[in-house]
Order: sequence, then C-alpha cells, then structure tokens
Amino acid sequence: MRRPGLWLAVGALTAGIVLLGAAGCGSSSGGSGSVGSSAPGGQSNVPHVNGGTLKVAAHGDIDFIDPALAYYQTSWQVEYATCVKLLNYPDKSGDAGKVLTPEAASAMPTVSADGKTYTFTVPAGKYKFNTGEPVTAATFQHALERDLSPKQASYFGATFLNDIQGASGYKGLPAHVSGIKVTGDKLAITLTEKDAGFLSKVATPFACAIPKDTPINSKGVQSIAGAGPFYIANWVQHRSLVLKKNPYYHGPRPRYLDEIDYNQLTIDQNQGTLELKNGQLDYCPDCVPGSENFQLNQEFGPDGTSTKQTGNQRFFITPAAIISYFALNTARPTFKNPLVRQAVNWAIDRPAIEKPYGYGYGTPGDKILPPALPGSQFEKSMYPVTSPTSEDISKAKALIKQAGVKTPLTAIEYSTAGTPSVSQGDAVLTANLAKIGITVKPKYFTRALQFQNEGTKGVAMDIANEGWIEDYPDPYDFMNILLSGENIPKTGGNNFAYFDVPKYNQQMDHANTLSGNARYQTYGNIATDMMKNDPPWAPWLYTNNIDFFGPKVGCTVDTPSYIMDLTTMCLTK
Amino acid sequence: MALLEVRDLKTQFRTDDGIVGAVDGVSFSVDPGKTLAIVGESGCGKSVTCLTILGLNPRAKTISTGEAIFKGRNLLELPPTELRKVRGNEISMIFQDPMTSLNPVHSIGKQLREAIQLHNNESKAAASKRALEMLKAVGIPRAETRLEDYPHQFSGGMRQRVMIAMALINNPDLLIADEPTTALDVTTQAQILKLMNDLQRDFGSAIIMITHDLGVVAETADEVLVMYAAKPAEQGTYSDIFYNAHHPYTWGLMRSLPRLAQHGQELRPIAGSPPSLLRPPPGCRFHLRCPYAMEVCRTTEPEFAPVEGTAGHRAACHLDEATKKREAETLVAETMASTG
Amino acid sequence: MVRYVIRRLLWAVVLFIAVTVVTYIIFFMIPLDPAKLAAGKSATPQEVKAVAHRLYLDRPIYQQYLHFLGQLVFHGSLGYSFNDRQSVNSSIFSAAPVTASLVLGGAVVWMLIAVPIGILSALRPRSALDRASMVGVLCGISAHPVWIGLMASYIFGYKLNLLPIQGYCNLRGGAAGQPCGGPVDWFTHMLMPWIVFAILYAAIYVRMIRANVMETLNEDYVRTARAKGAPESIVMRRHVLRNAMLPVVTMLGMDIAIALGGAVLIEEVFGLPGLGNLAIQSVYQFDLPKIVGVTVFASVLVIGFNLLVDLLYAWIDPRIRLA
Repeated sequence: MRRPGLWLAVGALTAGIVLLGAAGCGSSSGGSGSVGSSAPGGQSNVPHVNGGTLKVAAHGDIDFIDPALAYYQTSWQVEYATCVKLLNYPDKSGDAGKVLTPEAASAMPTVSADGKTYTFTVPAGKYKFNTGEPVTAATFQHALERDLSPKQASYFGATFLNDIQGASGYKGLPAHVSGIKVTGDKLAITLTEKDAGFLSKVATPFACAIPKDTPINSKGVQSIAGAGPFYIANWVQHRSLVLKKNPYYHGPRPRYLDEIDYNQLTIDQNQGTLELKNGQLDYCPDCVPGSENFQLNQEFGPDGTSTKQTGNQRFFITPAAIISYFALNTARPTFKNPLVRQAVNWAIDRPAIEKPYGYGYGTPGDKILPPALPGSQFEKSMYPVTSPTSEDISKAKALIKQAGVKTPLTAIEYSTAGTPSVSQGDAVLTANLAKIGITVKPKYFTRALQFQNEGTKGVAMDIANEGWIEDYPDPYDFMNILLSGENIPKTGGNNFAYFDVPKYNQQMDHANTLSGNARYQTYGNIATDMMKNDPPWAPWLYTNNIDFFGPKVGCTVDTPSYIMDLTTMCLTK
Repeated sequence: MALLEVRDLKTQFRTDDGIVGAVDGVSFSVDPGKTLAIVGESGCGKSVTCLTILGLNPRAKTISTGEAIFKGRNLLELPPTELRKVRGNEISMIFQDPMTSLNPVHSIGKQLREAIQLHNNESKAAASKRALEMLKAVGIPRAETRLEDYPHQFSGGMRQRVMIAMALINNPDLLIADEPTTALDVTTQAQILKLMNDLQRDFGSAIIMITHDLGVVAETADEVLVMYAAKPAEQGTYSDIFYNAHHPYTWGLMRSLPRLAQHGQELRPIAGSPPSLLRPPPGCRFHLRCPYAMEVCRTTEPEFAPVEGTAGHRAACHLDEATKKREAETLVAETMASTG
Repeated sequence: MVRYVIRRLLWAVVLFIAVTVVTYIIFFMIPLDPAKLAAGKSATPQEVKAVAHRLYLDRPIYQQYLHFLGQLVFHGSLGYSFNDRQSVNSSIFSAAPVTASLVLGGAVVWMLIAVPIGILSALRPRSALDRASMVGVLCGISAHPVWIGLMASYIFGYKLNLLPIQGYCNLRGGAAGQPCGGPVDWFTHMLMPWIVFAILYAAIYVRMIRANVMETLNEDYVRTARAKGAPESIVMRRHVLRNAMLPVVTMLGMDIAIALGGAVLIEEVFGLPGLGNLAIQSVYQFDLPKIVGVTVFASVLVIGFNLLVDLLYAWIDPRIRLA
C-alpha cells in the first residue's frame, strides 16, 4: 500500500518482520499454556499467567472491522487474531512466519495443469464462529463474492481479485461469480491468467471467513462474528473495541488472554507512552514518538537497564517491509539517462537523510526489495549504504560526464509538507546532489495532494519523495505494482518513476507465474539488474517497527505480516 | 427638644495621599418639623456630614468622632444592626442624581415595597397598596399603571418624586435631602421644592436640605448653616443669614447670585477656589480668598463665636462687629436695589 | 420585545446561510479532487467517475451547494465521510456529548472558582486575598492550557497515578462489554480536563467579576439601598450582584458557545474524542464532508447561542426589553 501521510504513516508504521536478534522459536505454539516459561518466539523465560485482560490503545485508529473494507495496519492486526482463512501465516517471527500454511483448508490447494485453477478442501466445521456457525467452503465463496460485489465498494475486491474469472461484470450477491465454485467441501477458484501471487492474496484479511448472513454494507458492518481464537465482542467506532475468547475455537494457534480491550482509539502519542511506562496501558501499536526511541531503548531495549533487572524486554525495534525511496522520473529529460540515475545512487548520503527522523527510525539501504520481504535475499546491494566516500562521489561525477548531459541539471522534487524531518531530509538530498551538478528544487504538498499530483501522467516532477508499505509479503506487490510499464494510468498511478522498459515488464510478468523459491530468486535477480543498469529509484531506507509494551506483557512475537501477534501475548506474573 | 443634635462632628478619610479631614468640627441641631439648610461649595463637607450621621461612609476608610444625638442615642456609636433600623425608617435620605439612584433592574413598585418591608412585617399586597398611596401623594399621574414600571420609563423629575416617595413611605422623623434639585431643570426644581414643602406639612418631618443654591435656601430654610472647607463659617436663622450676614464668605455667596435686573452686567464670583483638605491652610481657611483678610487671619483660626447680642447666630471671622454690620446692611441695600 | 425576537431570528438565519456558503466554497475550491479522495487510494478512473456522480461532484458548484443545503435543512444530514463512510451526523453526535461534558462541566467549575473569588476580591480590594487572586489570575491567563494539561496529567496521572492520564468514558457506558463507562469512570476521566479547562476561563472571569462588582459597589442605587436600611446581604444580593452579574451571564453564554465549537487543546491533551478532536482528525485525513460538517455544526452552535444570549439578556435587563 502507498506510504501514507503523517497521520496514517504513524498509524501504519508497523508492518513487522524479524525480531532484531531475538531467536524465532522453531517449535509450534502450545495451545494449552499452563504457567510456564517457554513462550513461542520473542521473550522466552518469562513466567506468565493464563487469562487476564490486555489494555490496548491505538494512535492511528481502526478504520473498519468489515473484512471487505479494513485496511489500516491496526485493523489487520486485530483481524489476524479474529479471522480464520483458507491459508494463513504461522504465529512466528522471522522466515518461519513467512511460510503460507493451510488453516481452514486441510492442505495446500491443488493447482490445475494450466496453473489457473486452485482447488481447496475445506472440512466443514473444522472451525466455528463464536456464534457456533461452522466454517465451510461456501463461507469463503461468500466472502470472496462479497468482496467482488460492486455495492460493497471494496477496494481490495476491485483491484486484487479482478483476475478471477467472472469478476469483471459481476453484478454482486446473491448471484455467483462463475470462477468460484463450491462442490461439497471443495472450493475451486479459476483465474483468467496465471498468477502465482494469488495464494498470498487469499491469505489477506480481505478473504477472512465471514458469517453467511453478513449483509452487503458499503459503509462497513458495525459488528461481525469471528472464527479465529478471538472474536470482536463490541466496537464503538473511533472509541473502543473489545476482543473476547472465541469459545468454539479449538485450533492450534496460541491464546493466553481472556479479553483484549482497546480503549482510546486515537490516543495522543506522548500520553500513550506515559501510560505504557506506568502500566495504565499494556500495549499500543503506534504510540511511541520518534523522540522517545533512544531513551526507551536505553531503559527497556534488549540491553536496557530495566530489562537487565526484570528480564522482561519491553522495547523492540524491528525492520519492516516498508521502503523509503526517491523515484526518479524517467519520462523527463533530467533523469532520462540511466547513467545519471546511477550517479544519484552513488552520491546520496543515506544515513544523513535518515538522521532527522530520530534514533531507530530505520535501516539505510539501496535495494528495491526490503530485507523483510521474501526475494530480498536474492537482490544484490551495490551502492553505498553508509555515507559516500570521496571515491563514491568521484564515481558519480564520472558517470554524469559519461552520460554527456549539460550540468547543472534541474530536478523538481515533490515532497510532503508539514513534517520537519522530511524537509530536513530533502535539504541533505539537495546538498548531496549539488555536489554532482544536479540542482534539486523541492515543492511541498499535503500528502493527499502529493499523491494526486505525482500520479498524474505528464506531471512536471523529476523526483518523488515516496514510500511504500507491503500489502502482502510478495515481491509482486513492490515490483509489478510500482515499476511495471503496464501500470501507468493517466491519473492515480503508483509508478512514480514512470518506468516503462519492455524488457523488465516482460520479465516481471513472467516472474509472476513462478512460485516458491524460483519466484523469489527471479524477482531478486530482476531487481538487481534494474538497480545495476537502469535504476528507476534511489532507495534509501527500510523503516523499523517500534513497539513498546507495558510492564505486565510477555510472550510477544513480531510476525512478518501482522506486526505484534495478539494471540501470543500474555500477562506476566 | 431638638430632634437631632450634632456636636463637634469630625470625619476623616484615609487616602493613598494621607488623611483628608472632610468635616472638621460641625455642630447644629434640627427641630421637629423644621428645615435646616446646609450651604456651601462642592467639597466643603456638607454631604459628608449627613452621610456620617447615617453611617453611610465606607467603613474601612472613615474615622468619625463627635456626637449625633437622635432620640436620645448617639448615632455615631450605634452598632450597625441598630443603625440600619434607623435608616429609611426614622431618618431617610435622598440624593442628588435621580437618574442613577434607583436600581434599573427592579420595578419601582418592588423598590418601594422593599423600603416598607425592610422595616415592617407587611404582606406584599399591603405594601403595594401603601406604595401606590405614596406615588399618588408625590403626584405621579396614573400611578396604578406605573407601579410596576421600571426606572428608565420615568423622567428625571418623576424619578426624584419616586425617591421622595420612597424616603417618606415609612413616615420618618427626619428627611435628609442631598441637593435634590441640582440635577433638574428650573421648572421641575420648583415643583419638587413645592412638593417637599407640602409633604413636610402633611407628614410633619424635619428636613435637612443640603444645597449650594441660595435660591433653594431662600425658599425652604428655617435655619441655615454655611460651611466652608470642612468647617462651619456661619450659622443662624433664615433672617440672620439673609439680612444680617456676618461672614465674608456669606457675603460673597450672596453677591455671586445672578440678578434679573443686572442684565448684561458681569457676574461676581468669589475669586479663587477652595483649599485642599489634605493640607489645609493655617489660620482662617478662607483667608486666601477673603477681600478683608488681615494679618491675624493668616495665623489664627477664628472662633465660631456667637454674634453680639444673639444666641443662635454664629460666625467664624476675625473682623470687628462694626465692619460686619456695615457690610450686611450694604448687601441688603444692593439686593433690594437690584430686584426693584 | 416581539419585534426584537423576530429581528434576531431573521438575522440568525442570514448568518447561517452566509456561514454555510463560505465554508462550502472554501473547502470545495481547494485544489484537490474530492471524488478521488472519496473513491479511495487505488481506484480506477471509472470508479472515480462513478463516485463523482454519486456525490454530485460533477454538477456546477451552486447546484452542489443547494443539494448540500437541502440535505441539511430538510433531512438534517451532513453527508457521509470519505474515510470511514459513516454519516457525518453520527460522528458529530457521538463527539458532541464529550465536548459538552467538558465544556459544561468546566463552566460549572470555573464559575464555582470565579464567582466567590471575584466577589470577595472586590469587597476587599488590596487585601491579601485580593492580591493573591490577582497573581493567580495572571498565572491562569499566561500559562498555556496545553502546558497546564500536560503538567497535570504528568504529575497526577503518571507520577502519582491518582487519575487516568487521558481518555474518555461514557457517562452511561459500561454496557455491552465496553472497556470503561459509568458515572464514576466518567468523573475520574473528566476531573483533570475540567480543572485545566476551567483555569483559563476562571482567571478571565475573576477579573471581570471583580471589576464589575467594584464598579457596581460605587453605583448610586447601592447607596440608596443602604440608606433605606437594607442589611449588607440584601444590598449585595438584590442590588450589587443582580446588576454586576448581568454582563457575566451574557459572556458566559458566548464563551460556552465558542468552547462547544471545540475545546480543541484540552481534548488533544487528554485524548477526549470530542468535536475539537474530530475537527483535527478530519483535517489530517482530508475528509471534506467531516470538515464541512464540523464547521457547520460549530457555527450553528455559536449562532444559536448568540441568539439565545441576546434573548436572555433582553429578558433579564428590563431596559432592553421595554425599550
């Protein structure tokens, strides 16, 4: 998803991936949890109690609880605890948490010979909603058709599922989509073309199991039953949310708490941090303002003073699948020449641009695929991720000369208004590029206006100061969406580099048909090739998730897709 | 037997600049049913004298000594609860500016009833009836409809009548009127003064009339006290003052009255202005403005002594009797001539 | 009096129309495509067009305004939020009681502080109490409410753990599994916000009441009342305060109206989900219907209260009523 502005960014800056340094526990989570010391992943050796109520708040609010509409990170975090899906991610951190495993489906689906049909076996009643209603194959048919119904106005349905056969032109429930068929306990989904990323899409909360009587409501339903370890017992929009144990859940996922209470869904960050410090609050996914990071890390980080005393680490910095980059507009003269774009990547001082954002904000990098994303391990890094040396600068200048362009070049940069760290970062960029003969002229807009302008074809912009958060853990979400020439509409596009190289377009289309390691490796290689020869961007940072817990919380696991896992959390003795 | 006997009344105010002696030794008496006029320039202490008698000065700033014997009690020494029973009941006071002396947010009926009910245990109906009677007595036309009207619906003259009604409603023995007609036009003034005279006759109350206007004194007074700079200058009956004045200040006051027959001639004010009461001049307080001032006037305060051959007529002046008599006669002749 | 009321009512209607027109123009003339905002982040051009049509955004602006006005006047509806798709009415009506709790409770607190102190200071000018209260007033006016609020919540909420650091609980809550609610929770959560909110206003009102009372004490009719033999208690109540508090009553009405529009700073510091908070969020999210809705609602409140205050003043001051 797009990197949203101040408000949403703060609320959404928490797609977590790998616990920095903490061991991912390999063992599967034990559901019966007695008072013990081994908790899945994260904090081991923390004695915990079963039951209890967790007090949670959020700064960024929860947008919807309707799976067809919910899109905020905080909403997805809740849905990870309340939903059952055909396939799901394990409650583990690190690589172990990236492996799709069957949940409501009895096994991974069988794929037809032409690769376009996926068949899932969904044993009826393996999972039940908190109302007692059983989850069946028809449950998921209903969920997907609801997403595709035009009256539901689901963003996901409109964009991600439109390659299901019969999706375009579908009038909506109660009619059926021709490409989704249920026979007995078998659910068969037929696509119009091969899409190896399809399984990841089906594991997003948009495809959660929902009760068969969930009505179409373009405003979003205000209450919904859940078949996961927890269910949503009560929701007052913008104010409070209560999760309770689903009495009908007997699956393998962990569950220690009785209840999770969200009060104050738009808590002020400073106040939230205070409440976490003195225990009036147990958890908040986005409460820590950047200025507090250093201090909190000193006290509650892995080597913190308090951690040493209590053995309970409360402050976590975890790289996320979020990238900050400067898109270089290839459709305009300044950055038409690939050599010029390579020069930019040699010249920028990535750590210096990061500095205004505060301690622990992110990890400087030069890859298209963030380290937390599968496929990133296959992409090679080649530009300086520390401050460029004088040789690096000379190399950049030489590339400019080689390109044969007349300096100084002018680059109009579109950036976000109202955030001092952004403008300070732009100042560093300007200084960096001035050294190699490029004059940067920043122009500031509010976030919404910035998107709109950047996404309009023909816009007079050379650099877009942008960011992107993964929608689901697959390189397609970064590469095809952001860098394929087939994704350049007249307005509302996301390909801000206006990158349209037929060779790469074809390669990315092909990569999308592969699966497993081959898929990731291919994407990694394409990314390497791009950055080496024809870099569309100057990537500079992968943002970290910052999590701070109250004194009583333990058993925390930071999952790749859904940040801190609510189901594994427990209260310590 | 005098109704009110004031002896050596002194009042001082504590101010930021020091102590101001607003009244410095005033004595007089008022007989039942009679009118005493207290005359003088602004700031001479005439109002303060009466406010002191009723205890209406700001308590924190005021130091009062002397006696004000009323019905056998010294009002200056009465505890506040007792004094309140006297105010508005046995001694009433009306003030100079009728436009601001009534509470604008209460009807006059309510304010009249308040005057009654503060001192009597009457029901609202009985009080209203009485209020209505008083309004009629003071000459308010269509009094029934106007009882519940508000002060701003009355003219200045009407409001002063209401004030008088309010003051007399409990049939007080003494009415103190502090420049009641100063803020009114001449015809209204005449009406009010006539009203007061009539009411005095009907109700039998004594009146202390404070004024700076000798014309008012002429119309109403039985006894007159002339004050200057917080001290008494001259005191006597109406004829004593008008036909036999024995103080240069009194002469000056009378000469400064504009006369009808002197059309076109300049007015003759008393030169200069009253002295500061914070640091009064030594000797006679009037000496700086007195055309007859002598050496002794600068150093020694004149005694407020009785005029030769009288008991009630007093003046505070060093001039000899002969000069005074001659001046008094000259003045009378001038007055006769100019009104002829 | 009747003419006065009618004149005031007509004027209120004119003001209302003026405010809605200006708000509408401002927000819909900004260089942002509302249809695109409503349609969502990655909507296709066709979807944007469909949304534009559904929201009347493809009609001329005066038609849009008339539709908006019609919806407002005849259906009482302020439209639907772009972000959370809920009716703006429901957002406002769930935020309004929070702000009302803050402002009305705060008004009670500030009057409880200001009236006695103001009166006593006026009765004893230059005394120790008077000087102390004037120093207090200076501090109350000078110290920024945000600073006071943060200090209060830090000391009493965080350090001493006496009161909740922030947040709001419904007065009638505690129902259906909500995390907090009921009169006790409501009170403990509102106590600090009330006091912090009241401090600034109490300071202003102490000064005003003191000045008014001092002035009124010098009025001739007060002297008349004393001359009539009234005891100090009646003089104070019926004559001094009855007049001195007149302007205070009308100021109170105006201040409450303005504060209802959004006691923004206090709501932000204490995390109260009221109208001020709603206004800020809707600006961050660029949610045009909510922004317009809050503006219109706040304006209506101010206009309405203004009218009420005018009528009230006419009722309590006979000089206006019978003029």
